[in-house]
Amino acid sequence: MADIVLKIEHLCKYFGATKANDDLNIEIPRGAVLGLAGENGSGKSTLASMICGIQKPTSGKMYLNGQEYAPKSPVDANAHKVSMVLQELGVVGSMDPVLNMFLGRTKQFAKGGLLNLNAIKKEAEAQFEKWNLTKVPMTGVAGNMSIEQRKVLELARALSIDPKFLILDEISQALSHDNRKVLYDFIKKFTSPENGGTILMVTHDLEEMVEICTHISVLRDGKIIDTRRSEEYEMDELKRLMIGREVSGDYYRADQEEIYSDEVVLRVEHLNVPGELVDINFELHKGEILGVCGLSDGGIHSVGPALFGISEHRTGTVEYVPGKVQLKKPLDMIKTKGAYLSKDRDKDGLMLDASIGQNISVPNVRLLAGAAKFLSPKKVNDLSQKASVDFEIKSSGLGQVVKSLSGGNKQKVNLSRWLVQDLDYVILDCPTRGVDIGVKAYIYGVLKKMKESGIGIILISDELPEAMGMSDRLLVMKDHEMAGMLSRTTDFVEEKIVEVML
Amino acid sequence: MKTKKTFPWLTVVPFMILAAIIIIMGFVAGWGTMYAGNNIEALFNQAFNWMVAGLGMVFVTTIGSTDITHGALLCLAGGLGCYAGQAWGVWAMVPVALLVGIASGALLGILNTKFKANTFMMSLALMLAYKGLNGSLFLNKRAVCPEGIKFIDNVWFKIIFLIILFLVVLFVYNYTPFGTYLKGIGENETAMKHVGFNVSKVKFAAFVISGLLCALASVFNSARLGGFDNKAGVSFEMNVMMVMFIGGIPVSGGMKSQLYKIIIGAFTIIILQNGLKVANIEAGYVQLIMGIVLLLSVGFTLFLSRRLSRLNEKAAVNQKNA
Repeated sequence: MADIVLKIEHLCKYFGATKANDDLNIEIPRGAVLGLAGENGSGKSTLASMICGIQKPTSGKMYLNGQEYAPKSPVDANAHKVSMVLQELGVVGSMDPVLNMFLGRTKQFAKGGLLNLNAIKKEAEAQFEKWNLTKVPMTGVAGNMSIEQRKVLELARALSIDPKFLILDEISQALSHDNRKVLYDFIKKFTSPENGGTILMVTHDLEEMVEICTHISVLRDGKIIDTRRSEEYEMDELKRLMIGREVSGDYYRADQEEIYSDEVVLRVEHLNVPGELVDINFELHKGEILGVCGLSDGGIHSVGPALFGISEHRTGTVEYVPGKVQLKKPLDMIKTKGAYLSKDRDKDGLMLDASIGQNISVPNVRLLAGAAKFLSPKKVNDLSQKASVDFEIKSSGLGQVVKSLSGGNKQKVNLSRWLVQDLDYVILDCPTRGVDIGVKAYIYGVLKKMKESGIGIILISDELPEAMGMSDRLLVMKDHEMAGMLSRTTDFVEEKIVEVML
Repeated sequence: MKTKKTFPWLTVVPFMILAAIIIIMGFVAGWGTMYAGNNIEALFNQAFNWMVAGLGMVFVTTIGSTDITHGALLCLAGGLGCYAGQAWGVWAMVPVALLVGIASGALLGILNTKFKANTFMMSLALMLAYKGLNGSLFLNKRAVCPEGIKFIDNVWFKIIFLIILFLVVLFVYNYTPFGTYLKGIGENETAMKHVGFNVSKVKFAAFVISGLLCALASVFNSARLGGFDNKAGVSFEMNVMMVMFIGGIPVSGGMKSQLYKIIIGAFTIIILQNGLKVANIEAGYVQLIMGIVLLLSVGFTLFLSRRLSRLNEKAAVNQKNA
């Protein structure tokens, strides 16, 4: 491994308190196809986006072909022959596919302010020809193309700068079987000695990774913990490295048993949301923590909005069993002593520019209002005060603007405003997202207390250890469907869960 | 938990601007003429309509929306009210005018909540439509106000009416769940949906209240002017907005909106406008000066609020480190 294309030294990327990449070191030899394996949030996409100049590292250095490399923008990265296909679709829907391919680089085809469309088209076709890509329609608008065609178009766009280093972030997910074959052939050709290209690939499909990549690096918590040639990995070992970490201390629940009351709180039958959920059925009991987990696109984050009644075109039934109430719209859930906490705290949950007191009081004013709907300022203030004391929210007072709080304290505000109420059930989507260890432990403590007091909890989580550590049962989702319902007593072994998940 | 009180600059600034305007206009227009009893009465009469309509429009501003139908609606509701009053008797005037206002607000509300149309565009379209209606209904004609209603054009009646209206609106706005939802929507509409409230219903109600109070202002306006022609209400909505924003109500809505600011704003604007007129300054210059004053005061408020939030953040950080 003499010829190193890209060398990364002590690379760090922090988002506030979150360490997306933490002292990351890697060397990529020329002609390699390096696969990045890791859970959600382990820092794969962050690393990829720093290499292609979308984000700047907090600290650390990169070297390209021995030269120091610090791209200021994707265009700058392109100038260094580094190119990327993003995970999210990046096509301008209202434009010609051809124009999309040369977006921002149409200057070479311009003459006196006019674009020579024929020349562009020719150039585009030459690219498809050169790499044997499946042809996509070049006329019409890109927005009408299928997701698969758009992905191919994006690949062609990435290739049109004649890159030597290519990053593919979750590209095969969008491709059908045939096109995957085309992709694999392309990868071989691109990295062959005569073309001399190198590829960094991010994929959730581990089998694909082992088959296609020459090397694999495993990322966990923003660090690369292992790099080997891919044939040296056993599939099971790779999975364990990716996900398995020690569950520490009494952080999570200590007992290993599925315990809850027989009384059903919520009964969900044939819940469907087009494109998001397919036939979800389950019952939530009093005092149960029902975990929901799955891979990133498995649909777990669609469960909350669907139950809450905020998703459009929902079919199936959600019943609040004690009161025999069908939950159809958000207010039904609030009225049946339920609450829903969405994953995106800042966008869906809090009023960032308002004060702590105002944020806490908003979900509660309905209950506080007295005769003639009169809302006593004293009652409102007392409630906010109680919530902020109970939840140990660190602030300069109820008047402090929520925006200026730390992530953990924001989440405490978000949780407390619901949990001061007398609840029967609660749906929590990633309640510990973006909070530090201390607050995490605190939130788990709250969950345990809620369980003891008989509240039914649906805990949707991106983190398997969390879901395993807290749940009585675990609903595992795959491709928007239920892939299994596992019991704490018998099935909570990482390998077993991962088996169902993948 | 210790709360450190910082000086409430944002609350004080509108008062300071009002005081400055009162003093400057005293010098420019002459203390005697400017603040003579009959001039103050005239000032109040003019500002009164703005305050009534402003107390309605503030509901729409609070949810972060815009309603610019007010000028045209003032003319339409008042004009139709006058017609009805002449045709069916005095009693018909107020209900008809108010119904027109409610209908206009409901229409805007439906367009916004059901069809998700942008309120600025929709109220612009409605404004044009109303103007067209006004043009054809009241062209070269005056809708004459029925005599029986003119008793309301009395300063003391208006003062008492305004106090009662202010208290009612204050109750709804500050001391009911509805008021909290309104402000919550202005802060973060998605979050309010996730809290489980019927956001559409609240927004609809806000538009209806806005239309209703505009119609109420139109009744007082016709009683004062004795009737309507198609030029009535020109730039009324702009004046009402100016009143709100110079008073310090945030343009984007939300929790920091407060009602008393409408009163402060109304007097600031009217004293400025009237003072310049009394001082015999040309109409064109009056507008220019008004524009500059609004720009300065809004700019200053903005500067101040940014400065203060930065200071607050610093204080929060210090607290954390301490």
